[in-house]
Amino acid sequence: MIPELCRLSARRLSERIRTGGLSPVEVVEAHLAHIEATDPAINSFITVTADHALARAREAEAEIAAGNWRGPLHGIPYAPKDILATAGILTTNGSRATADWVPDYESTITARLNDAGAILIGKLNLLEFAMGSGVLSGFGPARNPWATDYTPSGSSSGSGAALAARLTPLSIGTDTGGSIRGPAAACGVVGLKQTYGRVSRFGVTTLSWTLDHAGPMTRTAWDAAAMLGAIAGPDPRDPTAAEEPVPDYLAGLTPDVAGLRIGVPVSGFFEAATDEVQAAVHAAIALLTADGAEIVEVEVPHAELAGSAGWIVAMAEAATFHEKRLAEQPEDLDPLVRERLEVARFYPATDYIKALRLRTLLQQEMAEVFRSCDVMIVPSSLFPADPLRSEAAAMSDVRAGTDPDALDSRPGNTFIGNMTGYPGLTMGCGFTAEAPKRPLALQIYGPPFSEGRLLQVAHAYQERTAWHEELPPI
Amino acid sequence: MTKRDPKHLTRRQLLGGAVTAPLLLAGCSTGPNPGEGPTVAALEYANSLLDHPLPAERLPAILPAVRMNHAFFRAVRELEIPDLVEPGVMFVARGPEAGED
Repeated sequence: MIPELCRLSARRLSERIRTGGLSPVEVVEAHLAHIEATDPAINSFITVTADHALARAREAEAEIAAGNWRGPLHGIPYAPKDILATAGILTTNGSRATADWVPDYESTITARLNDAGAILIGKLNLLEFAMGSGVLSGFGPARNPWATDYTPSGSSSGSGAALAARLTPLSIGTDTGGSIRGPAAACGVVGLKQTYGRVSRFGVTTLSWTLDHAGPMTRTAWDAAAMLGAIAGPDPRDPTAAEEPVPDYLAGLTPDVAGLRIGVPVSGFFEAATDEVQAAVHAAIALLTADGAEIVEVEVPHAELAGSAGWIVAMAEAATFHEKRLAEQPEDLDPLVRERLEVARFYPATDYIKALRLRTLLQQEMAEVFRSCDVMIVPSSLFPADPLRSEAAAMSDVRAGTDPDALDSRPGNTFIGNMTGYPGLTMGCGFTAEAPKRPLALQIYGPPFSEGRLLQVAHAYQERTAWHEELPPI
Repeated sequence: MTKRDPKHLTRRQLLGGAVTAPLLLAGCSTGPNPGEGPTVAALEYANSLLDHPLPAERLPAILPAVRMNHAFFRAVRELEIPDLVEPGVMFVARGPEAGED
């Protein structure tokens, strides 16, 4: 049974904290108790920072009582993917190779959340180094709260699972090819991969320098807007962080969609999705057009190559970043991570450069799309959550009896956002009819720095639906 | 500009992709089945050029994954891109109006 306080969004918790009716200590205690009771079945937390969280909660309680309310995140628990450095607190990257690492510096994201008054309650499970099997890391697989024999997807697996299980109202994921949006889709929560550079990557362990993003994962668009407002902005410690001014994302959250131009691709994004996913996404678009949005047909001619090209870039850069670790600690790595890093040692430089040239084409094509529409809506994951893989199947990308065509399922629908830097937001838009009940999801893309628009459309959709309020059977 | 739809490739076509990378091409020319993609001999040759070569026993172990990746990239490798298109190394983080300065 999920405790009442844990069912509330950050927005609702904040409203009650601000008015004095609810103490941050009560909020933290409720979440810690829920974690203790429920997480053994979900395995979403690697570290629970109970003492730290309670101390911060008492500080927040005193500050707010003294009239020093910092904003909508003050006194609200959060738990980031355990790939963000937290000074003095274990940061494992989900790997035996770094299982004992306690950083002496703080990631910009967690520093800004702490400054906003949010309270760290723990660090969340993930696919090792954001690219592992999700089964054979040193910390075991996170499980999907909607069906615990199923995967929450990855690589921000613990983030998706913990949010859906109501173990935390706020999380941070990272996304190199879809690792925020995949778990958001599989778990039916909100995941925002913002524009490249919108949020600093300082203190986030690298998978791929040119594709990595870190961003909010929440249950509502309102909560994601509050988080993004706290963490976005320039950072001298990350040369790729943008100077673009940070708007008031919360102020833009209206339910109005009249006149909104929704781009719907004529090819490349829908065909490979299951019929049920396609139907759910089209139903969501229809809901918005019924209230005045317009559909515009668009095309991204090379969209289907985004996944394979993105994979080249991601793994080539990962093999460079992890070169020393692969040479010195290969036995400490998840076998799938080891295999992927080893294989990437043999990528020709010409393949990598070819992928970067395709990246330019994709950027040009996405720019063209947004000359005729405000947002583009497509399926996020192509299918609902899969069963957890067996340990034998998790050893390698090559699995006996599978067809190499299955490689096409690598997530082009999400990878295109990383290859172009364009922002994409994933959110639940239904559930499977077949048991076990699992979420279905859509994705909203927009032009650079249009996060405010994406959040507004997502908020408008959640104002019209209740998918995000359904509770998993835990 | 043309592109090959990877969904229309059969398993045989995927695994039979031509090797275009110089290193692997050199190695494959000595392998027994160049039509099947990279071989252990190709990997041994390429491995000898690395700063941190992999242990020899790992090469046959990863060969199926190397071939799978090689086939998976075929559509990208065969894409004809106009000469004027340069590599997009990294997204340039500018707002939509930055170009109007």
